[in-house]
Amino acid sequence: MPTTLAGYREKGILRRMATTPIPPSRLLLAQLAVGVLCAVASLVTVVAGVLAFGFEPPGLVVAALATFALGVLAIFAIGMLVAAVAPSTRVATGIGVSLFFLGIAFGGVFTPAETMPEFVLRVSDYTPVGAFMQALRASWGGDWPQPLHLAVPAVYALGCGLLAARLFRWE
Amino acid sequence: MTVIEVRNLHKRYGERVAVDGVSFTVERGEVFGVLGPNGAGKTTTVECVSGLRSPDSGTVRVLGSDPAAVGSGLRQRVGMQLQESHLPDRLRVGEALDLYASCYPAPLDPRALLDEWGLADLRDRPFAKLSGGQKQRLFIALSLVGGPELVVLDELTTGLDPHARRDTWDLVERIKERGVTVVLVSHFMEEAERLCDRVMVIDGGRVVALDTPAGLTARTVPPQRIRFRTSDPFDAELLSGLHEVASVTVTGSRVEVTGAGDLLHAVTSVLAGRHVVVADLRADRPTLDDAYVALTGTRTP
Repeated sequence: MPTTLAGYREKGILRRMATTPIPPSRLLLAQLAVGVLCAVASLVTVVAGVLAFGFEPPGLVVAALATFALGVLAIFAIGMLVAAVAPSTRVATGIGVSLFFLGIAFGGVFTPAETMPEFVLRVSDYTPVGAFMQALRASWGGDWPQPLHLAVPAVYALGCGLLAARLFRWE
Repeated sequence: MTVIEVRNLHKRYGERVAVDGVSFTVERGEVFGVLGPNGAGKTTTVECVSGLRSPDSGTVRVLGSDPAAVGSGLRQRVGMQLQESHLPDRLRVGEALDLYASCYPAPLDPRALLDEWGLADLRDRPFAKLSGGQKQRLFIALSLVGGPELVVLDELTTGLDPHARRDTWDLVERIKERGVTVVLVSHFMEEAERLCDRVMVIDGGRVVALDTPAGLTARTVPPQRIRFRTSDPFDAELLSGLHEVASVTVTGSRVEVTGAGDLLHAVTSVLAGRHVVVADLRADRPTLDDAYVALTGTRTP
């Protein structure tokens, strides 16, 4: 998403949009809607996996869905913030990729949370992907996630979303 | 009714002064031309009018409100065609109009616009596959889709071939017939002469002239011009004494005489009397182009 919007900005597509009464928030929400649709598609894949190949379903489906929604919103909000301010597609890609790797490193994709050093784990609790992964694991195991692990993505979603709408540049 | 009122507009980018005290008003239903060499401050001026930039100082009022103020609702009432504009490559013509129509509370019917601007056959054509003239027509249609009271057209025909340019002029005349006020930024004098009710010439960020195209030409350059060639070297003194003659310019074998009154008769009488043999004699009226060159001291591109 950041690359798309930064590309629009680079080519002056956003500038043309700026002459219409559309506020930046609406444009960002439209992009968010597209992103959420993609996320839902991946959710459908998981459901299909559960049904067709006998993946283990989440122990607490409501908690898993809530976690999923919050996590997706948090990640997209960060993407929107990058998209709002990145001056070019290259910068957008650079920032996006760095955040992606930082995210998965702290999120326990390379090493599971159990094997992380205590210090890294604490930092991970406050990163959106880290909190998201922990919450997802908890709900898969049949428990409600810790409040912190739900609050962190929620705060990221709200904060980055508002900041993105505020800092948005048309050109 | 006054649609645009600009008073003492100033804008600088860092060290460079782009607009330096520009003032003008545009009345409802007018086609108002903004002319000037590249970098004269034309685009900056109209961008301040359309609210895309905020002026450093001076006042801008468009349809009674300040275009730079958030929530003035002005964007619903002003259509804009930017100097450089793009749409996503794969967006189709019909989709683009629907999309932009969705941005406005009371848009015109996109289908009717497609028909009116000769875009109906191109409805399913992606933006990247359109020719320059077709893109321009689409951008004009997009600037009108919100049903604006004022449209700003910035360098509408730059980069178009002569046919497409003339077609586009017809389109601008049709916008005017709708009663929409038009601000036209251009550096084609022929275009301004044909379309504009009044023109403002900007140079170096300042207004150097503001009048009707005819008034500007009459005020700036002598009303008549005669050009011819002679085989023998020509003595400018022969003609410069005549009271009809304002100037005589001899460049090699070419002679250019400007003046007023019965200039052609006065000049040809003298030439016949002196048995000067001339070729390629042409008499014409200087155009806005000549006035523009005289005003700005630069050649039009």
